[in-house]
Amino acid sequence: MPEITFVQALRDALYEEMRGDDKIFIMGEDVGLGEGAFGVTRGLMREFGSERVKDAPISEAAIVGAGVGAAMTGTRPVVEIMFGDFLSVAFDEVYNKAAKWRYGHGGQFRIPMVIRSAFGHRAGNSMEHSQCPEAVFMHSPGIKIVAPSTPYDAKGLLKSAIRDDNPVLFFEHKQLYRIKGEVPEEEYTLPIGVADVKRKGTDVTIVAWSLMVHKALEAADVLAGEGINAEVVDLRTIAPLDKEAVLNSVASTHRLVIVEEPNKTGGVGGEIAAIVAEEGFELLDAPIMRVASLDVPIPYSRVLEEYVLPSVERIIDAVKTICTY
Amino acid sequence: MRYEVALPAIGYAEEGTIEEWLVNEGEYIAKGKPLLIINTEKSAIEIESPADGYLHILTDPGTTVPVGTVIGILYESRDEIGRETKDAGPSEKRVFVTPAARSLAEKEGISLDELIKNSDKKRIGTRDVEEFLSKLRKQGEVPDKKLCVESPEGIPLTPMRKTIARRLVRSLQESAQVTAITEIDVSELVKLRDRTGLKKGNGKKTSWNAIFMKAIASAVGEHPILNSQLIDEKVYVFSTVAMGFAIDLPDGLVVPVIRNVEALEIEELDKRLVECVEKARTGQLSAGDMDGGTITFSNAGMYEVDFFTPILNPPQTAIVGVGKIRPVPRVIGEGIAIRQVVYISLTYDHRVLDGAEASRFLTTLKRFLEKEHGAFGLKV
Repeated sequence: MPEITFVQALRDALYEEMRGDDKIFIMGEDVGLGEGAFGVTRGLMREFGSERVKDAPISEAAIVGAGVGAAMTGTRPVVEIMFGDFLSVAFDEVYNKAAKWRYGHGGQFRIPMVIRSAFGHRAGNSMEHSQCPEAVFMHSPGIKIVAPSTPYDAKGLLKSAIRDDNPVLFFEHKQLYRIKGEVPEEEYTLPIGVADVKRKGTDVTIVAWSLMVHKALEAADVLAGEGINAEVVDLRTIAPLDKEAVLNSVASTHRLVIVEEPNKTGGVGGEIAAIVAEEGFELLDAPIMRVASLDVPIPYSRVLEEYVLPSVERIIDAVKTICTY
Repeated sequence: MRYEVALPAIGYAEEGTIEEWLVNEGEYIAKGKPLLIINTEKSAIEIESPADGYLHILTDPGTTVPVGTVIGILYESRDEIGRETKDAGPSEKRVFVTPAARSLAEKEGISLDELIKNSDKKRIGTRDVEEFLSKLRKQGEVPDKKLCVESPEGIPLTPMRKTIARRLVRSLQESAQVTAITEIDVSELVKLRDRTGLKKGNGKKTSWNAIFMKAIASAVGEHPILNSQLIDEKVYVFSTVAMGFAIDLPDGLVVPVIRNVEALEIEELDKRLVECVEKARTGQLSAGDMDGGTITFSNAGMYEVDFFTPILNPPQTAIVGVGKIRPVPRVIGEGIAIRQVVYISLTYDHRVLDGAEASRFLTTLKRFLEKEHGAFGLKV
């Protein structure tokens, strides 16, 4: 199986889907002539022309809003919001329009739109270019949220997102764009809403998604050397959340650590912890632990950034705390 | 002022289950009014309040406690309830059992109390339960549920089986049981019995149970020590024979007692046995019907059983078991003849009598059954 980068996997997904369905078009800042701030749309304008790969003005509200309108009228837009932080500018368009209009209008139309966005911290990008806003949008019923951790998952899930008749927020971690992974040459898709066990284990479940899956796997390697066998569950999709996968894993390990990149308070981790407390109380041998960013804006200083964000060491500490409970 | 309500003794039952309190916590009840319902292995019984007072419940419904346990308190005034502090007792260690461990223990049917007693941990997790479970498995105290054909949770003993189990184990633990067996030639008795049917005109023969029980009662007349009870190192020998009669029911064994067997006409005894079996099968036997036996009779003759070793029914000192009557070749004089033969087993308490007396009893019984049929009232 050939190894390709995460960014290549995304680009391949876009190529394949656009070749197969001429209703699909791309719109966003610098996606055409600029070939995407992170290079995801490289070559697409040359291949599909400026009608299907549109450069948009610097107005996130306009980009998402136009996408919703286009989707309602029968096309399948894949819009790009360069940084996840900027989704706040298009908050109403995502949170109210994209997520709720199909429901609000009695199902008269569909909104088959994908909103791709790069998120997460990278090299001191600071507070407005480092955030992960998945928890905010998870609170709005009607929108699916995907955040893959590997090139294989990224390609399969982006293809499914494009084919989905409902809006999908698709988060790509900046630090993952350059990682490589095996991706089959033949056609495949992955279902949205299904988590994946990235490492089997018996002693503790670590739930993570996107970049944090890699941190969790690193922590699991260290822990294995100390006799603690951690299972790493990659959610892959935040909404709908695959709670069965989490509960099944906890049923065999009886311990749960949730690792998430954004601030701890009001996060996805709190939601997962609540689900396990409600539906899996009798599965637990120890308190549930969350490893997340400290409740401060992501600092510009690299030293402070490292201090604030979840680290492999903090994951290891959390695991050990509940394994010796 | 307080009055302690203790679980009363009901018949033979050594423990009872609180079925239902008929008065709520803190409510007033007058002496003699129905207070609660207790379940013994035999029946549910309504218990009257032994005094006036406001009730404080100590034992919840569904709990089984030994006779004599204080299950509630009646106070003169409602204010007294809860004022008494419970005995602190030895300082109890507080152990936290995790939800997963609790759930696993319940699934596997492990007693958390036992686990906690056997652990020095402050927290019990699934791993502790698993370790305890594997220890119990090694000791053979917990079955491998995967191998169970049905009810992997185990089939709980019914109250009746629990009573049987408790009494029989106690019997074997607390007495010195010896079984002596003799072969009896009942060929003549078989012929005689056939004629009892003809005599009555309805073809209904006198039952073997009645015949054997009468014969035993008559033999006991010559060896009264076998008709006795041993209680607190004293032997009580009785003048009349109250003979326990083992009846097999779907739930287990019951042993109603037929009184004055020595004085009953054999046909009257037969009638009583039929009534007794009917009562047993319809669940109408009372505790009183099973009280006070002085000797017991157990018949396995309807099965392919030649002989067996019955277990004493304490405080009785003897039990007689009978196997199947079958034709066998036997030496008669110089020749061999086909004879109807049965084995009779006598289990006796060696603390009370020795082998010689037991043998003499069997010899008498043999004589009666083989030759002196009139001695126990079988006449045609």
